[in-house]
Amino acid sequence: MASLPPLLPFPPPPPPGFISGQSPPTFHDEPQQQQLPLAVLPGDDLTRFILKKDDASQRNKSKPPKIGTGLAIVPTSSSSRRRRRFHQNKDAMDIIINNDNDSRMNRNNTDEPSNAPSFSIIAIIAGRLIHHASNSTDTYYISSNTQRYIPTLGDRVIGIVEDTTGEYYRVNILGGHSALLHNLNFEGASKRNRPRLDPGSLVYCRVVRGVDDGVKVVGGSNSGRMVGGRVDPEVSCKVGGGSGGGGSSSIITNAMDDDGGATRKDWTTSECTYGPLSSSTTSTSFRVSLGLARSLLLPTNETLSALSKSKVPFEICIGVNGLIWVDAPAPEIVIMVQNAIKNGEVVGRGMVGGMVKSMVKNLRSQMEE
Amino acid sequence: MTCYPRPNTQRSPTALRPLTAELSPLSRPDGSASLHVGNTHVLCAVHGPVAPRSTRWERYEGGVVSVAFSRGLISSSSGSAGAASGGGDTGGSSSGAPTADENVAMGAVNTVSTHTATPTSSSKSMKSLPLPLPPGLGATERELEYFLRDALSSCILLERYPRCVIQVVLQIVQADGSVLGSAVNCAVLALMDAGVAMRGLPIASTCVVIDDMHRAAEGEDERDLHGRKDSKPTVWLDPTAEEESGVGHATVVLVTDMATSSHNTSIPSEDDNDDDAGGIITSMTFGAPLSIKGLLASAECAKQSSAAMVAFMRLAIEQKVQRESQTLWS
Repeated sequence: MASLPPLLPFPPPPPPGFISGQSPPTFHDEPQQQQLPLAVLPGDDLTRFILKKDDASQRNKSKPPKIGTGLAIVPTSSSSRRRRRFHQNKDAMDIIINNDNDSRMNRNNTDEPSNAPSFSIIAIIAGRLIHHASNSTDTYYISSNTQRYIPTLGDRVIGIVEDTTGEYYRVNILGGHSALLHNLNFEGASKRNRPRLDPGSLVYCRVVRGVDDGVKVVGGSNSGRMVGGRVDPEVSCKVGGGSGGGGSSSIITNAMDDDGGATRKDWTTSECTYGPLSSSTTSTSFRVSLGLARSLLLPTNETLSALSKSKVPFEICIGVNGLIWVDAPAPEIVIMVQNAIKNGEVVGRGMVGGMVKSMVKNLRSQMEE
Repeated sequence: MTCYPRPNTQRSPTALRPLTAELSPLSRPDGSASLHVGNTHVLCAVHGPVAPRSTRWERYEGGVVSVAFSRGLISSSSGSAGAASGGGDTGGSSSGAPTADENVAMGAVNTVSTHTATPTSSSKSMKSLPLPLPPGLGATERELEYFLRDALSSCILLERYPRCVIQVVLQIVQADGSVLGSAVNCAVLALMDAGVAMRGLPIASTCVVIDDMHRAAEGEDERDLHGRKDSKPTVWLDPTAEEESGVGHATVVLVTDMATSSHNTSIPSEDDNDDDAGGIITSMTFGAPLSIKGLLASAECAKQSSAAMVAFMRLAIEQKVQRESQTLWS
């Protein structure tokens, strides 16, 4: 190997503590915890933040830590890193349990000290590592704000009807592929009594088959196995849990799929949870980023609580896929609500209340003219 | 042993030019990034994962990356080389902590775009690409697209996006050397902005290698054409267009997989010798032919340059994360 011409001192590679070295006090202030990195990049190894064997607080938890979105478990071995499988999160729990109980997993690499984990947890998206502690377990995930929705089981989304083909509607839920909605998947719907949706109308529905969920393979050598991700996602306007199902027989009923206590009124009433959203002349729909949509659904959201305190009459429907529908008696109110929500993405905390107040004041003076 | 200095500038051979990045400058695509490397300006937009326009392009096992590469006008860098050198030294090679210097010379990341320290107002004339094309842009756009596609596909977790396509659109706004490398890095920033799952970061470094053997052919020295004496090739990092187009200069773009696991103290150090930690994914060479010594020398430089680039990207993401936590999530 040729010796090099003298290079001027180069900025050295970041020292091991770099990713936590310069973060300001985190918003999740836990003094006993090792400070979490402010931002993680794909490929960052986060094992030592998550599996802290010497941390007393973690030993008291009854279950091993849970790994959420944006993190992947990669078994370390001497083989090439690129050939390792990046496990989906459903496998994650099993691996952690196995490792905690069985130190013989380290047989791959005999040079490693015996208590080094035989796998590592890698970040796969760029964002912020969030730690959520509960009494029984710790949950870690990476939060990041994106624009592209990935259909996930149980999400409540607003879709745009594109087409009617046979028994299914094709609904655009702003994901990779358009989703299927069976004609009869409305509460209390039957062949003669079902809603007729025109292309372009909005539907508030629930995802019943997402990208990660599989379909049972019926024939051939793989019979009975679940194969994921190849089939178009599916949505339904029926409240989930319990007897589920509808016209389609491939809906998965999941123990976790209990839909948060939504009411099961008939689709004809105006109190049903899901269904078509009226498209009157004063209603509008617009797109926002996924992070903003999720933050609007929090009960502590400042924009919406300020708007409701101001006693402006409006109705709003928020889809986790970033589509928001607003209806109000007057178009000025609709526009004001839309602007207030969009501004909420860039206005800092604490200033939202003042912003909404001034907008409402403008609106009232405008309406009185 | 000679180490040739760069022409027309005080920048040291291992200094990077000032970097400025902006995440989400465009509102319509799922992710976008704009990257300034000195006078080179690249814009990238990422759409995905989306369904491809025709079902014929759907792949059952995983996603597909599709790259569209578009070259723009070239700017003459002679007027601004002097100004660039002033910024270049603070940006790259000083021995202080990289973070402090980078805060000064690089990185303004905001939805309201502010550019710091990059002299874009100097006398430049925008003219269309001259014929014959300068090195680095001489390859056809199709070749460059395939190069980018290979580099990005190796790091994106495509098995998570079956039947989808991830479309990467690159626009060269200004070209002043290291265009292909900056395009790769800009695409990586845009992919991170879009939230596409990646197993690592493919970081590109561009080097110009000047082999002493070429100088020997001019009869300067009794230097050995067969390499008996140790002829050390000169390596310049992050070249401008002028440096790339010199006679006998070989430009090599190396894409390395920057995995920070090699810095993790809990994993034993044998990972440092592992081929994959900081290993080279792909490379492309322009200009003069590259010798083995030159390739190895530039691989060494590329490893360090990638580390600096990753640190810069981390800054950019940190600013975005901080902005979000102040406005979006409480």
